[in-house]
Amino acid sequence: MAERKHAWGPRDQNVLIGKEITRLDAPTTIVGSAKYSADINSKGTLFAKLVTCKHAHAKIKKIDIEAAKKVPGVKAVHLFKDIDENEIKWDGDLIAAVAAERAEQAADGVKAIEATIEYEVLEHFVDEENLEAGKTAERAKELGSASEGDVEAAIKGAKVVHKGYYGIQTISHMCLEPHGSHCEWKGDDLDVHLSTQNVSGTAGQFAEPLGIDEANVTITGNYEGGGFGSKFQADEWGLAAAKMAKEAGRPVRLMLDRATELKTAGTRPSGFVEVTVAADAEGKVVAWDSHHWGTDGPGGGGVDVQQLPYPFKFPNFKRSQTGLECNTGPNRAWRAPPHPQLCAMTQTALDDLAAKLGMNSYDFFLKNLEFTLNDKAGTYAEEMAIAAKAIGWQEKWHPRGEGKGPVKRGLGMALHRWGGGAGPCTCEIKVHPDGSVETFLGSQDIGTGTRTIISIVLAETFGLPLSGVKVNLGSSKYPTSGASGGSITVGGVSGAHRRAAQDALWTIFDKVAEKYKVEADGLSAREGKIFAGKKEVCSWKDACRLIGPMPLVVKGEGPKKDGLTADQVGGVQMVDLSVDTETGNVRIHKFVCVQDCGLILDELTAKSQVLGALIMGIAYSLSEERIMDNKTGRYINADLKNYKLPRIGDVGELVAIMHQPASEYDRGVVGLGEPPVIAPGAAISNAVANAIGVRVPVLPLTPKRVLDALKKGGNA
Amino acid sequence: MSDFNVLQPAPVLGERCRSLRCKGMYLNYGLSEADRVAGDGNFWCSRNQRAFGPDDQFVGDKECRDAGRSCYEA
Repeated sequence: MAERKHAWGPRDQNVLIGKEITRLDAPTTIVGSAKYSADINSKGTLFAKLVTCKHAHAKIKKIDIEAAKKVPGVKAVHLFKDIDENEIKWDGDLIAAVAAERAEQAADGVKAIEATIEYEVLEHFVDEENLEAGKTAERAKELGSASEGDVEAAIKGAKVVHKGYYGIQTISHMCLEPHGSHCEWKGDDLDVHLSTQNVSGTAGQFAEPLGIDEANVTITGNYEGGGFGSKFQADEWGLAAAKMAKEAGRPVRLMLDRATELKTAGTRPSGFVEVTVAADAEGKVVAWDSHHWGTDGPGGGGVDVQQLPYPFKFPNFKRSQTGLECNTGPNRAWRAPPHPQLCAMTQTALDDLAAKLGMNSYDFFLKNLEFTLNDKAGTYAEEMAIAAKAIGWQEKWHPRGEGKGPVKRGLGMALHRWGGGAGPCTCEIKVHPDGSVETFLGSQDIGTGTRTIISIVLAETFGLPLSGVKVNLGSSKYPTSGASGGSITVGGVSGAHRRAAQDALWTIFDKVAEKYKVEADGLSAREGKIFAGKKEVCSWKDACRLIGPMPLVVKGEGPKKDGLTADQVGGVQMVDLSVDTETGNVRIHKFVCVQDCGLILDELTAKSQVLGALIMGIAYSLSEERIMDNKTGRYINADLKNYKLPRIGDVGELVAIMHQPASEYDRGVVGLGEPPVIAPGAAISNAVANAIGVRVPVLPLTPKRVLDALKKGGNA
Repeated sequence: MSDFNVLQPAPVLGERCRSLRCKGMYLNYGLSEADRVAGDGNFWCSRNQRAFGPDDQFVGDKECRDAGRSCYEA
């Protein structure tokens, strides 16, 4: 018998893999039958609301939670802070929670507590762009420096040197479904419906603080309305829900309100930089020198700049960083951390250098691809050519600021990279004697198509229609799988399922070979049948009857270095836009992303990831930002009206081109969820600079910032 | 990861507090250092599920190796 080796099949023989397949759970989410944590409403459920602080920095001198317990309908109260030891560190920090029969009764309980609180208000600092103010307020701390080569000598010998200031403001995670849970005790067991990216990893996070065994906790997360890196924890409000459920002897549902969601449940750090960058006569970068500052909140850190300049390694570079301790909500991972900020801070400066050199940005980036990481230069060059053709770069590009009339048109580009290697996954596949197939795994579908991907892999392997397999995920009682972050899920689950499915198929082939006196090596499964070469041997159901009366159970694991999965992806983005120089409004006409990600399992969900990322990128490039009031220290736009997200008219034509030559298919599966969100900031900013002839230094490029830059004349 | 431009050696630190958590722990479990698929600088305390520990001090990879903290547990 020939050696059996786990592998993907020849590309031209795939029936499902690589096709455009609609997400299998689309109907349930569209019609509203999908149950999110906020939908769980078991009998007797109490509804919880939060008391939060309206000061940026304070101590609680006095509080009376007993006041809430006197409110009709209130059944439990939880105090988050030890008033003798804990400071309030940001506007929106949690103080107490109230659970009641009805939401409005909980709100009355909140008011009753708020009326009793006396604060000692302390000095605050929230002016994260102002490095000197941070130093004066003694909120600055040096985070370190790094260097390589001789930067000063390289700059001295350079043909062109550019100095500039750039920045990108803090944004909050804007999960449509806020953080929260429904907690219900059944004797000593705790059932938690949790909005989470980490089904297998959160039971222990509830168990330890509650003093119970992890085996007594069940986490369920069948659907999730957005997490973007912010939902890996049980969270203090999750523990509060569990404790109040215990106290009341009733289930408790506690979902954050929108303001608390934006203020407390995660932010992406801000980054500001003063940079000097130099190039030789050919346009190759010879030196990079940057100093960074910004904040990740009360911890006093900032954007992790270890991969900067991004994604290049120039022969001479140095960088240093100062963190600012701000009275703002703490940061959490935000889709592709910290690449969007690094890309924006690097590639805007490089584009300004290109302009100073008098070079077409395309030619400049092409010239410097040799400095990109991970041997991706050739792939980037291919992707640049494809993107340029799609957007008409050579026909439309012009030197900066050319164009008549008040509305100026411009082109910009940027490139990105990401790891995306397969994450840990364990699954258990059951092939039943009647031919039905199901799998169990403690992973989660965070809205990206995990169920669909697994179904495609199993159905392709067994030669079945998608309806012939069933995917069971979203429970911590299923085999342990990794959290969904870092774009590792598709590689993790597809590799483990392909291995397990091929192992199961080979077992069945052996039984078929014995029964029908054929060679197992020559068997294949397709169209619900087993074939020996082109000759039909039996149906899939006939083959599965040979298993016996009990299901065939096969465990799949990963990741493994067997070629099913790989890592490292890249992409190129180009944008064509207009800027109204009288109003400052930016209008996207066309936004092209050419993206590689190895073997593509579902072309449609892959493109959907890209399109969603581009929209998210347009948001943080043009309008989305946390706005802090320096005087009061408060987050003043923490609602869906004033926290500006793009509308349909802001988005323009989006084009997702999946770059999958044979060399990419042969690499195996690589994750895609995060990388397309990295480059929009730089690409859009560069297009605006190309249009109006000046750099708008700080993202998002709001009308005010555009007009201010035009008035000032920019820095390029 | 090999492609990180990390030029300064990591400081020699003590053992992490057993209650320290970060996203990377749930993405990289069971994998060797060389096979890590993701990292993260966002830490929290498993005892109170906050970014500040039971002693109200910041939770971080460096900060939570300090055995002098009142809440530190090896």
